[in-house]
Amino acid sequence: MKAIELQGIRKDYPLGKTTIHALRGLSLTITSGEFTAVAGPSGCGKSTLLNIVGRIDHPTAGTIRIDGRDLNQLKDEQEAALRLHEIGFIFQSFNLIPVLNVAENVEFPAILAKTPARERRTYARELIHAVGLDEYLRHRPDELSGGQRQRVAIARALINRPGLIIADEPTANLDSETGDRILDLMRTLNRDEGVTFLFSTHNPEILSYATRVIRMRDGLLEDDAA
Amino acid sequence: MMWKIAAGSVRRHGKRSALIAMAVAVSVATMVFMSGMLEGMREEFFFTMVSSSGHLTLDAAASADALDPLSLELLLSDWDGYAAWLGEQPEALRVEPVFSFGALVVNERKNIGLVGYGVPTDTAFFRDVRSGVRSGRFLAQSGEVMMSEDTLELLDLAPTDPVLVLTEDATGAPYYLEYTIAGVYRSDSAEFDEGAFLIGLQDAQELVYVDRDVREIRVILQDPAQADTVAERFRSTYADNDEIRIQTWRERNRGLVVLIELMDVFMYAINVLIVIVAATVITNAILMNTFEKAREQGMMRAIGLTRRGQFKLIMAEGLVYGVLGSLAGLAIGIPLVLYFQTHGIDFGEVSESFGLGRELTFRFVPITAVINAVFGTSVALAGSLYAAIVATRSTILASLRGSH
Repeated sequence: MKAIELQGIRKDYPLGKTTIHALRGLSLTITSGEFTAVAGPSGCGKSTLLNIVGRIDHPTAGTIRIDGRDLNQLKDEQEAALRLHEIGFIFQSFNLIPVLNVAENVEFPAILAKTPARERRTYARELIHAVGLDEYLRHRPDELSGGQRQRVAIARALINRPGLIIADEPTANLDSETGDRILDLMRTLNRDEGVTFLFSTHNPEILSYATRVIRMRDGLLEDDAA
Repeated sequence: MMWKIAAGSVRRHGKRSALIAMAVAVSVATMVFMSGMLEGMREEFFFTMVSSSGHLTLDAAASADALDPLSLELLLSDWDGYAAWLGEQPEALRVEPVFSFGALVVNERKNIGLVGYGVPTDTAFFRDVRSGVRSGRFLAQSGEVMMSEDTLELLDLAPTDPVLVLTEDATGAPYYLEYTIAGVYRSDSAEFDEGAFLIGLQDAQELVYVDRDVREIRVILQDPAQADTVAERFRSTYADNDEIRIQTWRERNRGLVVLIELMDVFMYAINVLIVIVAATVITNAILMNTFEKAREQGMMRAIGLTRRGQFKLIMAEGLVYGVLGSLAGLAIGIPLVLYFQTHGIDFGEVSESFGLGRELTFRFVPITAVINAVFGTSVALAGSLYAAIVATRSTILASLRGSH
């Protein structure tokens, strides 16, 4: 993945008789290998932006292109394939599958991608080792701490070797020490594997990790401070 | 992995899973129970019909309009030719003459009017008399009669006692002979026990002075469904003989056949009701399960699961419920049917008035149980179908926010 281009993105939500304008014509380009933080107060549209980039939500207007490909033209199955192969997600509340153990959770997207069993198992072990959870392979999510769960989520996001990882407030539910460790891990993966990260936060301390910070206010970019 | 997720989800929502599986189990068990009862009733009906008339019955054509069915005017005299023709048919298993007549059975000052059935000692009919012998044995030689416990009690008789049988013979004169009670029985029909006795065919013909005449010829075929074919063949062979008539078991027992068909409809209606109730419970419970897992499913969609994959996942869960519930239903229903197949339920005169005998015994038919289990599983799948459609129509974002 070389670049993500957003042009004139608007997102409106109907709320009763009124309409919420979550994004108001936002334009933005993210290049490959960036470690980009989206910052801003609650309700400024950070999550909406991430959801639209990750194709789990659709803009009311505007275009979004990945490597020149217009994502608005994709059909449902193609969007699912895009999310499966090219984008990894890390959620604020971890969102692991509760009935599967650590290894199975990490392997799940690779199974959906029909990766051969031996290959996916080997890579899952590597990723689990990379996030420091070798001892917890057979543990279920409810047997792990918040930080450990988020590390599983990171390993899961990487299993299909995506070019982009989207993380919505990945440290919001973690204590600061664990949060720092998660960010260190993300940064290392960005540096060593060249994976592009786009993550949101409203915690100013975290911004120091980012190579680029996008500030938002009321659905628009406030500035683009490198 | 999908199956593991489905099975894991079933385990995780233990109480609700138990409710869904129980709904399937109860419906399957009830269907197995009802099917067992229906099969038992059907078999009893056929047993009663075949026992009293065979699959085909040949008698005098005038019997159709006769006021007195035991009239000695309504006998078949030259019946050997008909019996031989019937016996030659490839479908025929047994051809047997029966001679019924009215008689007064007398013991000192007590007497009772009964219908005597003159039958060969190796008769293939009256099976429940043969199997219901309480003391003594079935007819074996000349000079013997079989009487029911009820008759013996009414006449103050004991097994092996001599008894007088008085009748009006073919000449119109009263005539009696003394017989020995060879056996005492209790059949499956109180009506038969209170109104009939058995005697050897030749003894009956001798008593009534009718030479070799018989009342009817009964035929048992390999398959009841062959009755129409053989009857038609007989009618075309003896088309010019209007003194005899041949009837299939259906024609002879129209009332009972209609009753069986009505009962089938009734049972199907009950099954449909069971399915509707079970499907409602199952659909609601699976729907609740699916709503509860909206975030989980939204997350799976977000990381690449297609709508089709989500659909399969929910249906797989429904299949797990269906299979588990159906197995539990069979585990409950089959032993119940087997128990009542051995022991029967005594409905007394209620079931007897419907031609079901004193005791209603069930009948276990494996293929019916399999069909019921498949049906139960299908109900669970149908319940899951609605939940799957609702869930897959939802957007990923709505699911992630916890609503479908």
